[in-house]
Amino acid sequence: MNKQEFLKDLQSRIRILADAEQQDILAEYAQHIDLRTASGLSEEEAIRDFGDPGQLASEILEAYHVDPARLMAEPSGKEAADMVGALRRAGSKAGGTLRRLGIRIASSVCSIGQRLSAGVNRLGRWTVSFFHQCGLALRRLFRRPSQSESTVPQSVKEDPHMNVVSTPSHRGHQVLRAVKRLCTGLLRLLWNLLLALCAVPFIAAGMLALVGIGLLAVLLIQGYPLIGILLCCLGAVLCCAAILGLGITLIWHRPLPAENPEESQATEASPAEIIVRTVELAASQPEREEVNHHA
Amino acid sequence: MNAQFKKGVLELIVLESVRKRDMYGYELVAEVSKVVDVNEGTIYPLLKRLTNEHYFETYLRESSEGPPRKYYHLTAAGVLYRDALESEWIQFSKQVNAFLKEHVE
Repeated sequence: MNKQEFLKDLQSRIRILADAEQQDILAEYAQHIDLRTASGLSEEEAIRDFGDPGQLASEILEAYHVDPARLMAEPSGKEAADMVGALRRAGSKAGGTLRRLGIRIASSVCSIGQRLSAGVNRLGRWTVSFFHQCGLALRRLFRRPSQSESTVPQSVKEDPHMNVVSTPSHRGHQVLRAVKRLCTGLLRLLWNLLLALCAVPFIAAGMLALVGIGLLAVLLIQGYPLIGILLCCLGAVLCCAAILGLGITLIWHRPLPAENPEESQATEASPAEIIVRTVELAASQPEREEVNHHA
Repeated sequence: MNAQFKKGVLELIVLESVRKRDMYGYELVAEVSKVVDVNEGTIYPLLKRLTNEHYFETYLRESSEGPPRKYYHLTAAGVLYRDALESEWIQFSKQVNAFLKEHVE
């Protein structure tokens, strides 16, 4: 084996290293062989002193912390390069499919979420309408007797005594309604209190995360590598805010704010009117009695 | 001489040789060969490894004959490493000698 063959052989074995390093190593060996031959040895003898080229190459690779045993399994650098290329292609392909898979998963999750939210919306509407219907039915139940009673005094409106007699039933109706209102108010209060109690830990966690974000932002400006924890805190804050938002939507204001005010005004107005009427009537009675006396 | 013995001490001999004065590869091989009969093939990879670990610095210097030569210079880290190896070697050889002497008697 002459010098050129030796250098070529060695280069093929250390192809994994950077080009500059390869040239550096080969130049050193070439120089060594040159100096050896200058001192009177033949190229073959000089090369023989290096020992087995495979052993030599593996020792060189060890100096770069490259595992020689693994590289020895690959016959040549070109194939290794091809393998690297193939691996890279396979990696990019795998990345593409993964990306596509991710997009598909994301879109399916989105559609599921949309369907879920639509379903929940429908359920919520149904519940609201159900309770509304229940409320209406209850109201009708309570109103029917009062209407039937109120028609009776209207027909005999001239008689003040009859009108006064009919007020106790109105009062009973009023009491029932007040009890009902009290019950719903209490329920509403309890429900909102429960929600508020649930909200307290989330508010506390959100506040803590906010304080953490402030601290981390200051530390980040000072140069600490805390961006990951900062993002975690931001996520926690957003999470808490989302949960609180959900809680706010669950707060029970009034079952149906669009229709309720008018109805409640109407229902509230009628007993008030009745009271005013009765008071007026009561006030007019003495006058009438006086008129009767005069007569 | 046993190859395993040589391999362990070779690092110390190379570091000590370069500590005295900067040397280029061929010169260093000749210097080390005076102490231990060593395969040239093992010294160059060793020089490469010590350079990669920053115990050696290299620089090129023109020579009167042929291309410029790459000289090896011991860094401060190299000096510390050499001292550590030396004390290890002394302790090790002392222990082995004591053990051998004990058995002879």
